[in-house]
Amino acid sequence: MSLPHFQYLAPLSLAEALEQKALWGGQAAWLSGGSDLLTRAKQGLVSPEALISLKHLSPELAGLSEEANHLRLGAQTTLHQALSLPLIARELPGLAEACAAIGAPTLQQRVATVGGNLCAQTRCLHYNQSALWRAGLAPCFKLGGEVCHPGGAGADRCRSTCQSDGAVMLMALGASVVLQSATGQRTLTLSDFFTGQGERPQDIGPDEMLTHVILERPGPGLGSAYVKMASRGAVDFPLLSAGAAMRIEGGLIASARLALGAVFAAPLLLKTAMEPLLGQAPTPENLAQAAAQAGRDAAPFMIENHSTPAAWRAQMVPVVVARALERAASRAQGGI
Amino acid sequence: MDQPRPKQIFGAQVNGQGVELLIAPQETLLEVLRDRLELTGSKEGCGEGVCGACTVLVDGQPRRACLTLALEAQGLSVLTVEGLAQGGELSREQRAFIEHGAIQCGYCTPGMLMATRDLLSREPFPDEAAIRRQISGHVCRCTGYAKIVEAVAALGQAAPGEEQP
Repeated sequence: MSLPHFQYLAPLSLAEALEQKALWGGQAAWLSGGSDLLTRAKQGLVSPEALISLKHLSPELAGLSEEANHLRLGAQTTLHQALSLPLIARELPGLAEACAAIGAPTLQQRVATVGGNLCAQTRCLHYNQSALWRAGLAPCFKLGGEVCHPGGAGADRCRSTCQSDGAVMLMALGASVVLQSATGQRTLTLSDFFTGQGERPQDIGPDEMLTHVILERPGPGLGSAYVKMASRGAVDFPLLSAGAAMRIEGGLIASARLALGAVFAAPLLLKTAMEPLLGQAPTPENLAQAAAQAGRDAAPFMIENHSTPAAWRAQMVPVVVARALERAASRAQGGI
Repeated sequence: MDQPRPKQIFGAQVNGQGVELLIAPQETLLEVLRDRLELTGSKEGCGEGVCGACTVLVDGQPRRACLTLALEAQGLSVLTVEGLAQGGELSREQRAFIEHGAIQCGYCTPGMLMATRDLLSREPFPDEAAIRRQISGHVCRCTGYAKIVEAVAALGQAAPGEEQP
């Protein structure tokens, strides 16, 4: 499979990269690990005039810095590097699980980056097919058309889903992202960064680069976990996933955040299902009730846009949520 | 008429030899290796970075060459399966794969060997779980993986003093 023609630029500094992007705008795409972009280019889903490689920017944009009350993770940090950071392994095991769940150790994890995972496009059983396969159907919303094939006749929008493992866990951890352009900088929470629209899943301008991920310092009492269901243990995108972050103080749940992957265009944050847990002890019964409520809340999002039936995936929501909550609660109390 | 499409100079050390070529920016490392340098050991299985057959080492790191622009490896060292044997002698990874019957059709073998080289360079005595994790992105349709795992495990059990070729 060959790639379409494009120009290739490899700026030597962040400032130079941002200037180039300001000139090219939406005609150029950032090239980082390339797992998502180059696959999409081969499938004819994207055809940029130019690729701006970030390969020289790793010294500026890779690695973790610990600041007074937050952590700053460079967007160019590869998954392999993230997995080797002691602080992530020790205090953010859910994030480590999510990074290890992406692709495969020798394929994606060495080159794919934390920032690239957040910027990856949403996916759908119909959209992510070859150009030849897609040519037999009317273009869908995500391709600029006016239908959603899995959504059916009544669909009024794209129903592709966010299948980025890292994004789901970072949403549960309440992370923010820094977007930098030649003229300024914005910091958005992931709830704002992810639009919830499959046609344009991220709020990032044509002149902006996602440069850093900002995380709260975890500290004692925070437990996190990421649980993924996929056909195989490596390589595959999730059929369904859950990221959970829970803080336990004095034996009671002080905060609980849960995000689902592969059900909605954004990592789906289930706030209402978690509210009854606040102030309660993390007993198996309480966690099971919250998981059951998560299943009811997620049900309307389940349509036939994956390779497994929507009904099965709906049944699995309480299962993955319960596993994620139990593991997060155990870790918040010093377990593994 | 399309505009003229300028080519760019690509230079790298491939299997220890300096190469310099004029290539189109969209050429993948796999295309340059196979079609221009005639190093056809690295295979294109899926072309989408999910089968591992095209894995080579770039500055010692595994890269799926089908999804790596050649220009991303500009100025770096590239090791392919052709570079494993030294002076006509097969490498220890190649010998182990042969001795344990870890090769059938051979299509996945170049990628498996590069994954093995990478694993052993970081973790000289991997357990079975580590071996299976390392090759989890490498699809083999023949062997059922057991013989490959045995071959890699045997390398890990070799005398600690044994030098890598």
